[in-house]
Amino acid sequence: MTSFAVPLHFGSSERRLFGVYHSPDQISSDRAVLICQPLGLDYIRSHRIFRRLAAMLAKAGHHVFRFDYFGCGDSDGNGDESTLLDWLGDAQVAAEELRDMSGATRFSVIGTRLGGALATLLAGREASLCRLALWDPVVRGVDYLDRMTAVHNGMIADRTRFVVPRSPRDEGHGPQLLGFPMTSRQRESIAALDLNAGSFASVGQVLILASEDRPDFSEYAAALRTAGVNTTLRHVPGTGDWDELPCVEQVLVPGTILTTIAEWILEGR
Amino acid sequence: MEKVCVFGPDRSLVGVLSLPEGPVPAGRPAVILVNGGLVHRVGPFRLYVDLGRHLAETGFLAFRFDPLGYGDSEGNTNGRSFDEQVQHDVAMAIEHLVACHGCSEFVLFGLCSGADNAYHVAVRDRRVVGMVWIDGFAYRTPRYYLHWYLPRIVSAQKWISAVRRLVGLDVAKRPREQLGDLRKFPTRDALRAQLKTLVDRGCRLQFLYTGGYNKLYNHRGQLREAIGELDGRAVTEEFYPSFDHILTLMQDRAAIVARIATWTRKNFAGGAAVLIASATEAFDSSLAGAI
Repeated sequence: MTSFAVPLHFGSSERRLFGVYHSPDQISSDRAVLICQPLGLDYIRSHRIFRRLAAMLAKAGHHVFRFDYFGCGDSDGNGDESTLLDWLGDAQVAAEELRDMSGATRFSVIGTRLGGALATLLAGREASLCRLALWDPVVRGVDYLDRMTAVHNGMIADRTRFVVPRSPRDEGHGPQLLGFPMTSRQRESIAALDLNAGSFASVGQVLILASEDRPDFSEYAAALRTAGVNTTLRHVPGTGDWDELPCVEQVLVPGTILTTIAEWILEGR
Repeated sequence: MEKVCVFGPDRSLVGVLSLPEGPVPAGRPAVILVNGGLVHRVGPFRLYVDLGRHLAETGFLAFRFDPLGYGDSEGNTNGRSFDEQVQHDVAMAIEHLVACHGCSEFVLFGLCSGADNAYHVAVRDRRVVGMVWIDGFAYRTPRYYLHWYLPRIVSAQKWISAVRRLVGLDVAKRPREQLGDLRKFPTRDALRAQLKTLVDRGCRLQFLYTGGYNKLYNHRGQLREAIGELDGRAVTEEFYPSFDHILTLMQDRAAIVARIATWTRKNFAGGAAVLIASATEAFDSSLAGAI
C-alpha cells in the first residue's frame, strides 16, 4: 500500500475546519503526527513545506494530519473571529480527529511560530505525547507582536510597494497586521502568551529549531530542561526569515528544516 | 457553504467549491479562480477565499484549486512548465465542473500570471464567457513614460539622490525585479486581435490594475491606449493607484472583491441582480472617486 492524502472538512457545523490527512504506507501504523501550522502570512509562506513534510512522514509510516485554524486557509470563518484560545480549541479538535482516523496511540506534534506556541499549549492538555518539534516557536506573544508590527509598518512605508503613500493607521476595514485581521481581542490573547510562565508539558522529548540565535529560545529550552523535559535546542540558520521585510512575499522553500524535523520525528520510532 | 473536490487524472487535483445557499440561478456561469505564482489556492492574503465566498453569497458558484505540483495537488507534471500546467489544469477544472456540477459557462479570474493563464484558456475555450484580470498584460506607452518621468524631474529629492549616487555618496539601489520579466506577454497586435475575437463571441472582460504594478502600468486607460479601443460595453478597464500588487491591505481586498462581484452580477445575473446589487452600489460609488 502506498501513502495517500485526503483533503476533508471536520469539526462542528459552527466551526468547520479544513484539513489534509496523509495516510501511512502501512495502514496498521501506531504512530501519528499532528502539524500545527503557523497563522497569517507565516501560514501562506510555509504551506509548501508542511505539505512536503506530511508526505515525507506518511511515506515513512506515520499517520499525519495538518489543518487550517478557523478563519484561516480553507477553513470556514473570517480571520477576525477567533482568539488564541479558540485556535487552541481547533488544535484539540484536530488531534481528536487524527486519533479517530488513525487509531494510533503514539502521538507527536510539530508546530511553527504561533503554531509552535499552540502545539506547546496543546501538549499541556494531551496525556501521552511522544515528541514535540517546535520550529521558531513564539515564546512571548508581546515580542512577536512587536516584530510583526515593525514589519507591517515597514511594508506600509515601502514606496516600491505602495506608490501612493498609505498610513499605518489607515485601518478602514478594521485593525490588521501584515494583511490579516488583528482585533484588540486577538492582540490581547497573543500578548498574554508566555510559554516560560506556563506549566511544562509531560512530553517525552522536545526539539526546538531556531533559525536565529535568540535568547528567548535558549531561555525556554533551559526552562524545559529545568522542569525535567528532555530538550534539544538546535540552531538551523537560514530556515526562517519571518521578520525580514524583503522576504514577506516569498514562499519558503523546503530544505534543511524539512529533513531536520522529519529525521528527528523518525528517530522516535 | 464550501465543498472539497478532488478531480483530474488520478484524482490528484485538489480544489474547493464555494456554493450559494440555494440552487444556482439558471444561466449563471461558474467562476474559476486561477492560481498565480507559488501561493496555494487560498491566494495572497486569502484573496481567493474571500472572493470565492463573496461570489457564492451573491449566487455564483466559485472554484479555487491547486495546479498539479503546487499546493495540495501532488503528482507528476510530465515536464510541463508552470504556465502549461496551470492552463492544462484550468481545462481539467472546467471539465470537472461540467461533469459533476452541470456548469456550462465560465468566468475566469486571475491575478498576475494567473491572469495570463486565464487569458490563454479563454482564447481556446468558447465556454469561457467572461474574464477578470488583476495586473494582467500591460504595455508601456508614451503617456506611461510621461507619468513615470515627470514626477521624477520635478522632485527635488530625486535630484539630490541622483547627485549623491553620481558622486559616490550613495550606492545605486538595485531595481526591483520587473513583474513582467518572468512572464511572456503577447505582442500588442496579437493581444488586440485575440481580445477582439473574445469580445466578438460575446465575452465580457474586466481589466483591473494596481499602483504596485507601476513598472508596467501607471495611469488609467493605459491598456486601451496601448492596444486600441475595444467594444466599451464589453470591456472595463480600471486603475487603483493606491493599491499594491498583491492587495496586502484588507480594505483594498474588500474593495476589489466587491468590485468584481458587482461586475459579475451586472454582466451575468440579468435583471434579477438589481436588488442584490443595490447593497454595494453606495460603496462602489464612493470607491470610484478614489480611482
